[in-house]
Amino acid sequence: MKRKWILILGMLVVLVGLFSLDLAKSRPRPVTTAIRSSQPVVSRATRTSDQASSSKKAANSQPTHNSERVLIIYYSRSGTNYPDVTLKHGHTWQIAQEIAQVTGGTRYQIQTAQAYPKNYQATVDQAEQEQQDNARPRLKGKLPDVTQYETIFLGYPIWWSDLPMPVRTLMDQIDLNDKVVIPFSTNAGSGWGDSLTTLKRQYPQAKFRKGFEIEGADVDHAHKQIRRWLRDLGY
Amino acid sequence: MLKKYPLALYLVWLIALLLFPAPLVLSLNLGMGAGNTPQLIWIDCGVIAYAWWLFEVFLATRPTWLDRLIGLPALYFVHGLLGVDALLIAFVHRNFLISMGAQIRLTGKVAWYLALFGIIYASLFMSGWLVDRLPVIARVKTKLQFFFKHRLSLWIHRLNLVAILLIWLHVHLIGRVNHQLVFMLLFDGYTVLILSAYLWQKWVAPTQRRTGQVLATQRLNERTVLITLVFRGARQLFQAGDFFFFTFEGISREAHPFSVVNQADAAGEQIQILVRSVGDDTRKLQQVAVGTVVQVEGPFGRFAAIVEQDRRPLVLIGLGSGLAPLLSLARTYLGTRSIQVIWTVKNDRDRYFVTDLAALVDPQFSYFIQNGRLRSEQLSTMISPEKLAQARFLIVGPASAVLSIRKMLRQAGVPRDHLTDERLTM
Repeated sequence: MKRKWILILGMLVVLVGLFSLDLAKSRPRPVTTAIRSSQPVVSRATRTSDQASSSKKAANSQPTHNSERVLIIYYSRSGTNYPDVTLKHGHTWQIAQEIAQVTGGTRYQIQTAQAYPKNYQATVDQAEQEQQDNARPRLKGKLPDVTQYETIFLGYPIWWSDLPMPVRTLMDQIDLNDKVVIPFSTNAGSGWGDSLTTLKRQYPQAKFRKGFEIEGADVDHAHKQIRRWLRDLGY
Repeated sequence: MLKKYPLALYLVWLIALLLFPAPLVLSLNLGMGAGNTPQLIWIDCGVIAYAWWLFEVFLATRPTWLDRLIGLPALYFVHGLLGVDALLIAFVHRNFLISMGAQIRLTGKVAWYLALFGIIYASLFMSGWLVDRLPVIARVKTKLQFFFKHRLSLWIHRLNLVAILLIWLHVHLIGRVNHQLVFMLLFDGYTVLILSAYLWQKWVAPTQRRTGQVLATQRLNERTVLITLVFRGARQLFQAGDFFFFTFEGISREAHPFSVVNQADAAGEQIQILVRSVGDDTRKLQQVAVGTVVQVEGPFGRFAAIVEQDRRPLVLIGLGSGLAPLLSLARTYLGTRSIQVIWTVKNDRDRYFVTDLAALVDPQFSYFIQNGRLRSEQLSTMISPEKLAQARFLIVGPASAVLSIRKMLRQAGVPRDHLTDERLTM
């Protein structure tokens, strides 16, 4: 009889404890990294050293599109990366570089005001937290002026099956509706994850063209694949 | 085809496979936005696997009411097959879903390997799936049992609970899942309720079980003893051919199943069981003292329900100590219909029930005892063509021998749904 009540009481205590934990986790946390809505949108793209134009290099590749009308926006993380590699430039950066060479487009790298931790796992944890909080990490530098571009290549790694939240910050600030949007991404085996759905939801009026996704570890050997993809797109 | 098994068994499968996981899957999909999350299908696979594992634990509590509906062998079969299915679907989950969190990966990985080990171990040591059909595996098991005794096997099997707790932790660590309130409430609710049911069966129920005493023992030969237990004040203890799980104080803390030998009697306070020495505990039971306190869990079994569903003649085939429940049936149904008992034993010393069979006098009753296994050509001479076509056959004995008799009877023209058996996997 005693055991019966101990078990019933124990079960209730555990249930109440777990339900409280579930309730606490379901509440949105204060978003400390969210961008302020009053932050002005930069009107035109600035070519910083990292955004250096690839037009000259691309001049010889005889692009069929007007390279002046192509913008390559991307987010890429260098340093310690998955799976246990140290990268001088991130995988997505490498693809952006290749696209720029072929299309002659302008590159714009998304950079956060506060860098992510150098430790890979710490970055993973932070990225998860940001996604849970639907955060918008503050960005460094001016945003590109997309009005002068017709085609936007948008590149990002897949983090927790979706876009990294700094890309979402940028997406909230620039309007790609009515543009031709060509996504490219690197991942650890998850494919596009949910990122295409997120993009299409954000820009329902954009014209999406065939994107390119690849596992990060394969990027070093993907030169031909990238070129073929771009050729199919008409570049 | 549906007539082959009781309707309740199909319902159990329906509940286990679909209805039980459905609230978890629906709440998660609605919360995460079904259709907008392509990865959701792989997450769902993990959720379904977890629900199946929980249902498996529920079945491990062997509810008596469920046994009466589908029988304990079918219940264990669902239990085992759900475990295999859960492992397969969990493989799909871990193979196609990418997770970046080290702890999430670790907990998932350890749980999966534990479950894999659990399935392999249980297939070898706890079920008859392999050992009943493959003599090589049976020999390996016999050799390994020197160390992996039944009690140790039970504890190893309980590692599945550790796997369940690891999966519970795994889910709580996933950020995009653990803030889905409805799903998490259901997830924790399911887990706590099922684990509580398991704890109830293991920790509370024994204190509420019927307690009796050993009234008498009778050595039938060097490896077999007939134990008479008394449960004072008991009414309608069991139905013919039932079995109980018995825990003998001072012998073992684990419960062991034994079939009743005596007649089902509404006013009876006594249970007679036959114990053959096949392991440590059954060896100790050969010397059990009169007055030893015994706890019983049960009764279990569906023989009486099956026999009473029509008026067919009965052919009861007992292989060695497998005669025990059939003797209970013969005693109970004597005079109500045609009953033919066929009993095979190893040698003359094992013919310990010969006087009991001889004591059953009725024009419709006959029995036949043989040293050594039955041969297929014997069946047609022993059993009339009418009986082969019409009778209900109940076979009890070591699993491999039962399977062989079933095959012979099928070849002799006995319809599959006239065959019922109880396999004693050692």
